[in-house]
Amino acid sequence: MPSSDSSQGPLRGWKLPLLIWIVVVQIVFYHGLWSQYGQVIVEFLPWSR
Amino acid sequence: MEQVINLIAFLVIAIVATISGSWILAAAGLKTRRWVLDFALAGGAGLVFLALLTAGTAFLHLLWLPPWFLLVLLSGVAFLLHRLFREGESFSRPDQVGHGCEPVLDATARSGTLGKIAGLLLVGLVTVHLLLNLLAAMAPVTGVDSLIYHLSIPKIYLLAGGMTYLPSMYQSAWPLLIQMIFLFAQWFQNAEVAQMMNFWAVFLSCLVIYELAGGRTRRIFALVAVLLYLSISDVIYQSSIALVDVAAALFLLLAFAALTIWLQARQTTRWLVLSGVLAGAFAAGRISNAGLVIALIAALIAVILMERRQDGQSLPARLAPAAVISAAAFLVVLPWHLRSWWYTGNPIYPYLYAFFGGLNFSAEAAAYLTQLSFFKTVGSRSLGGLLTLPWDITMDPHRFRSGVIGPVLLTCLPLVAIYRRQMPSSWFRLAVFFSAAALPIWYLTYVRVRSLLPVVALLMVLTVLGIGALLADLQVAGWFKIIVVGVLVAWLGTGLLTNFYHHTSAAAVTLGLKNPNDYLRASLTATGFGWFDDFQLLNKALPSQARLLIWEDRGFYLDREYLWASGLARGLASFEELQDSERLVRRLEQWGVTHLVWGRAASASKELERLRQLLMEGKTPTLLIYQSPRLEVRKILFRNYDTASTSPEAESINRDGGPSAQ
Repeated sequence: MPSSDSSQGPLRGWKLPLLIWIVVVQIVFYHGLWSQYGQVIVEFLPWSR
Repeated sequence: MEQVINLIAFLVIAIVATISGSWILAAAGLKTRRWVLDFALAGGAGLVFLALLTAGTAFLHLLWLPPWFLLVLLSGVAFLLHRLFREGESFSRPDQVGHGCEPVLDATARSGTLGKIAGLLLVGLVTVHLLLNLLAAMAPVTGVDSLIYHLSIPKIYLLAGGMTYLPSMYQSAWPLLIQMIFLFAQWFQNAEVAQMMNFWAVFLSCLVIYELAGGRTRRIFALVAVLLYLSISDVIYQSSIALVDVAAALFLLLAFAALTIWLQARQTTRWLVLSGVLAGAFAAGRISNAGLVIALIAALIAVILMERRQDGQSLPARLAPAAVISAAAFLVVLPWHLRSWWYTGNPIYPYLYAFFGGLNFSAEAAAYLTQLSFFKTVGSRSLGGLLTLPWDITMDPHRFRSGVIGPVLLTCLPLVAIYRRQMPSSWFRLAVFFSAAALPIWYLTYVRVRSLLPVVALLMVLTVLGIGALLADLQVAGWFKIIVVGVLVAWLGTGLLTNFYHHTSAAAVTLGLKNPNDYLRASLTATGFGWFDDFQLLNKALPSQARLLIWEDRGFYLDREYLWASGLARGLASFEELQDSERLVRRLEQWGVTHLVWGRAASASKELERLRQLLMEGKTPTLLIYQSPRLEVRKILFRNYDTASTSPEAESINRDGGPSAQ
């Protein structure tokens, strides 16, 4: 069990893997989204028009 | 003013269908006493009944009747059933049921001030989403497939006075139950109202999702589940465009809800019949949808088999509920496949052509279409592809020719496994088994997110239950919960931005801030359709009896009957006819085609380009009557054409749509 995990509930033993999973998914997803739609989003923002 | 009339027409259809649905469900004793769920069930069932009634009317070629007659008939029959069976007590009293199982958390727990503020914020977000969806749905009709067939086939049926096989449009042999809702809306008012019916389907889906999640966790998390659904870009897109998938998703979600009610009470098979009818309506929305209905029935069988066997109950008796739901679903979808078989000789035309064959289609075209439907996205299927599906579909939805579902599902679905002991048992099992069975079937058939929406919605409900369990877990540190809430907030914000991005222009048209024709030109041109103005001109200039052969499949904006030139290339014309322009013209004469309408740019496919050369440049006796930088129109000079009475000049069309002054 990871030493940083002090929880006793069902999450016990899963907190660190879950944290890594959350961070990895967010980085890959938002990086992909930005690569695909970043320019569109910037152009769409009111202060860019 | 026109927008207000459209809104009133939409409300009339939605209200009459919902009240009729409510009366019929009450007559059958199918009430849960949970008004949100009862409303959604009545709304969804009402749409199915209206679609079936419209289909029957169209099939009998009774579309000359006034459309309000159908609303009167539906509500009248529903009222009669309600009076007869409710008051006469022919059926047993409504089931006193909840809507599933034990809440995963204390669903009735009171929220603190922070919770109330968050709740209000979420209600506000849902309202903004729905308002944008509605405003965009009220704008003029755009889209691609909606202009190709979802709205065009109903429009042609209305022009023809009834349902008929359209040999050049193979989609006209498909199950078209949801297009019958679009047909009724166009019949009653116009195609904008048809788009608004999709908004209505999304609204009702939100109610079902809210109820599926709401009884099992705090209401605030149920609102999050609704918002996750509203943030899927396919849902945003389809909420304002006349495609079939959001309405189909509503029907399967309701079928699932009805099944969970039966699982809890198990006193009457009527919930199973309702579930089957709704599942059948889902299957009648798209040929490949049958796969998800099979998954739902398989999940029900798995839930039943996992339960402890009661004394003396045989296996067939235990599986009878699955037979009931299958039979009801089959009865709803069967007439559509019989229709296809009657029209073409193939019940799932033009698929499985090698086995069934089919009229007016070639083996090559059938193989190409199958390849397009099944392989154009992820290519050949593999076990590895199935296992990495959740990651792939989240990170690279373009491979699936789909929109974005967001990262929350993938991020937080593990919480469902971690907190599985807190999940409500039979409901949880049904949702998990259904999803597990549906994913491989979907992966092997039509791999688009839009055809998986009911499963995605259910997985979102499960995910929200997992998030709710985590946030209620006193053993978990606050900072960890803040990270999970941050994941939610980031995606819900992105979802709202997506909705603004998709719908701002259309909403501006509805609010009178933008010229509708400018909007149409821009939206249609963005999807490669640059001849809106030409079509408007042809509507004014061509004789009302003119029958066109068009090179472009998106014929919705033409107010004349037409055949697709692509249909000729797919097998409507024989190989010999496609080699000889005179033979082809004789065939066109048999079909009543009077004019050829062809784009001036290079044709999209080799086959169309060959046809263009054959018809527009070959020996075909034609008369050029209109040309613009985008297209040209030729009148076919059949053998009995009288050149003495009509000179080429008198036939030409000028820019105002009248005869040319030259």
